[in-house]
Amino acid sequence: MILVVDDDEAILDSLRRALEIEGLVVTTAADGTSALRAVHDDGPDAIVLDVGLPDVNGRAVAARIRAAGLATPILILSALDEVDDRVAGLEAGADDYLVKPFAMDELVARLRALLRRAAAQERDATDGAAEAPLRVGSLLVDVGGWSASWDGRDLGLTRRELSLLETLARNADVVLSRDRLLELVWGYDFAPTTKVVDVFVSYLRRKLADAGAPRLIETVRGVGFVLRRA
Amino acid sequence: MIPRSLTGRVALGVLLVVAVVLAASGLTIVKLTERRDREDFDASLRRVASNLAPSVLGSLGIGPEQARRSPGGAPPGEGAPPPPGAAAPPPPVGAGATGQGPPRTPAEQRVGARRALFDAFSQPADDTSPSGAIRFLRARHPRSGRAITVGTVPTGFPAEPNRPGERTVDVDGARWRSVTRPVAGGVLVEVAAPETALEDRSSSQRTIVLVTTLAGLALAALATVLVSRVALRPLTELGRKAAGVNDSDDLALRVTEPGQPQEVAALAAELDGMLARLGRSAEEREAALQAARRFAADAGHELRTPLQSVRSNLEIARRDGVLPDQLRIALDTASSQSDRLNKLVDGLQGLARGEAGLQPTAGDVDLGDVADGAVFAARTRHPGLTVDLAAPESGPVVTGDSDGLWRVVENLVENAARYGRDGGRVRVTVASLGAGVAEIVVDDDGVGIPPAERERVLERFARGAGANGMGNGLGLAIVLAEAHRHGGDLTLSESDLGGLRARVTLG
Repeated sequence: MILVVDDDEAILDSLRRALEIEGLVVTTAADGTSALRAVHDDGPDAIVLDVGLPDVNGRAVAARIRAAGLATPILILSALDEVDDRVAGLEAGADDYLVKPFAMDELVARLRALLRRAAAQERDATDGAAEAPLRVGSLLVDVGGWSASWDGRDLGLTRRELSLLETLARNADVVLSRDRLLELVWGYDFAPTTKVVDVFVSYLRRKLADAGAPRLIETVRGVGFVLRRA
Repeated sequence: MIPRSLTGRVALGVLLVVAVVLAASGLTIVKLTERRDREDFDASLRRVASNLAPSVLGSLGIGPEQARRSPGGAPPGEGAPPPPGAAAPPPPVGAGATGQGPPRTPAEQRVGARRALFDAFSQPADDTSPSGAIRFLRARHPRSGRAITVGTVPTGFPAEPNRPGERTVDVDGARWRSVTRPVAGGVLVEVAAPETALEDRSSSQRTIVLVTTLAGLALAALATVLVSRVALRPLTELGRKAAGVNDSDDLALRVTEPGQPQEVAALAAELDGMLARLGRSAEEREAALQAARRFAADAGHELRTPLQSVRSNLEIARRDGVLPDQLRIALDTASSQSDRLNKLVDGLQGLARGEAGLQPTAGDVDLGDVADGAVFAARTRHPGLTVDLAAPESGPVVTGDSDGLWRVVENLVENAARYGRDGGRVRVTVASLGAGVAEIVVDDDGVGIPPAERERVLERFARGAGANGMGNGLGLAIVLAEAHRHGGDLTLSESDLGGLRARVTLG
C-alpha cells in the first residue's frame, strides 16, 4: 500500500488515480497529522510525501517516521526546486525526491524500485544476513547497526546515505558509474530526471568532512565515483 | 617626488621650513662673524701700527717732542692688550729702549729704535690671531724722505698710499689687508698681512655651521617623521577601522571613537553617516531581493501544483488506449503544451534565482565535478547526442552555488542540443584561469547563431532563428544571470566545431 500525502486535493486525486491504474493500492492524507496517523494505522509500504504541508511539514513528518524506527521508503515531492527544501527533506531521512511537475511514469518507476529494494532489505534483515561491520581505514560502516563512523565519530547518516556509503566502501577503489549506483543503492534501472546520485554524494562528502575525514569519495570525470582506501 | 604618505608629506613640509630657517640663520651667523672677524683683523693691524709708532718715529729720527706735537700720533703703549706681533711693547724712545744707558747720539738713538722695532717685529707669533700673521710694516717721513720697511713686502704689492685708510690688495691671487695710519709729523705707517688666517677661520666656521645645520636638519627630519606619525596615528587608526568594515562586509560597524582629534572625528562622523546610508540601502536591496526570491518561490509553487494536476490527468487520459483520433491528437497537443509550460516555470524560477543574487549557501564548488554530473544528466536526456567533457582531473574550484553552476552547464548543453544537429556533438570544457577564476566553454557543431543575433538571444524569451524543437527562450538568459551572479559573464562566438561557442567566466 502506498500512502500519498499532499494538501492539494486535485493532485491527491490525480496521483491516486494514476497509481491505481498501475495496480497499486493507495491511501491518502491531506496534512501531516493525518499522514502520521495513517503511517501508524495502515503501515504503508511506501510514502509519497509533499514537502509543503499546512500543519506539520513534510520534512518533520519524514523525521518522525524515521525517529519511530520505520524504514518505509519515502519519496518527497517538492513544488520548489529549492536547495533548502530538498536538503531538508533528504536530511530528514527521505530516500529520493521529485520536483513537480513530474511524469507519472517516473514516479511509478521510482516507487516500484524503492519497494523492491525495501523488500530485499527486509528479507536480508529477517534472514539474519546482516553483515559484519565493514572497515575501510578509519571508516567503519555498520549496516546491521544502521550507523557509520569516521575515527570513532558518528557521521549521522540517513538510511540512503548509509546505503550509498556502504556500496562505495564495499567497492573501495572500484569506480562505480552513476547508473550502477542508481541500481545498487536505489534499485533504479532507469535514469532519473533528478541528479539524485550527485546530491547524495555531496551530502556524504560534507558529513565526512565534518567528521574530519579527508576527501574519501572522488569523482572520476566521465566515469563515476570511487571511495579510495586512505 | 612628493611622498605618497601624509606622514611623509607633513614631515617633508616641516623639514623644508626647518631647512630654510636653519640655512638663513647659519648664513647670518657666518656673515656676522666674518664681519666681526674682519673688524678685529683691521683693529689689530691698527693696534700694531699704533704700538710700534714710537719705534718707527725713532727709527726715522723723529724725536718724541716732535711726536708729541704731532696730532694723530697714538701715545706709545696705548691700546691693551699688546698685539702679539709686538708682544713686548717697546719702551719709549729716549728712555733707553734697548736697555742701554743714556746719553746717546741721535744716530745711536735711531739705531736703537730701529733695533727695538725689528725685535718687536720679529717676536714670534704666539697665537693664531690675525695680527700674528703680519708680514710687513713700512713708514716714510715725507719731509726727510727717510723710509723704513720691516718684514717682507711681496713683489707686486702696490706702493704706500698717500693717505690713511684700509685697503684690500690682491697679490698673485692672495688677498692682503693693509692699514695705513698717520703717526706724527705726517708720517704714515702701513701694516699689512695676508688674509689667509681670516679666510681659514671663515672657512672653518662655514664648515662648522654647515655640519651643525645638516646635523640639525637630520635630527629635525627624524623628529618630524616621529611627531607626524604620532600626530597622524588617529587617521591611520581610522583607515584601519574603515578597512575592517570593508573586509568584514558588516555595514553595522562604526568608525567613530571617543578621543579622536577634531578633524579625524569629523571625518569619522562623515564615514559613519555614509555607512549608515549604505547599510540602509543594502537592507532595502536585500529586502527587495528577498521579495523577489519569495515571489519566485511562491509563483513557482502556485503554478507547479496545478500543472502537476494537468499533467497527471493528461497522462491518465492518454493511457486509456482506445481513443478516437481527433481526441488523441488534441490530448497529445495539450500534453506537449503542458510540458512547455512546465519548462517555462522551471526557467522562470531559475532566472529569478539567478537574478536574486548569491545565496548565503555559496561555498567552494568543484566546477569539474558539477560539469561532470550535468554532462551525465545531459547524456541521459539526449541519448542521440555526443557530449564530451574536457576537464582537469580535479577542480577548478570556484566560490559559488553548485545548483546555479549546474544550471549553467545544463542550460548551455540544452541550448547546444536545441540548436545543434541530430546526432551532433557537444563539447564542454572546464578550465581554471587562475586565482579563483574559471571558465566553462560549450561548443557545438550546429548551425550557430549569426553575430548580429548574438546580443539579442541573451534577452529573455528571445529565440534564435535556427532553433529546432521548443525552447522557451530563457536558457541563455538564465546562464547570463548565473554568470553575473558569480561575478562573471557570458559571451557567444563561433566554435571550431562549426556551431556556437558559449563561454562563461566565473569569479
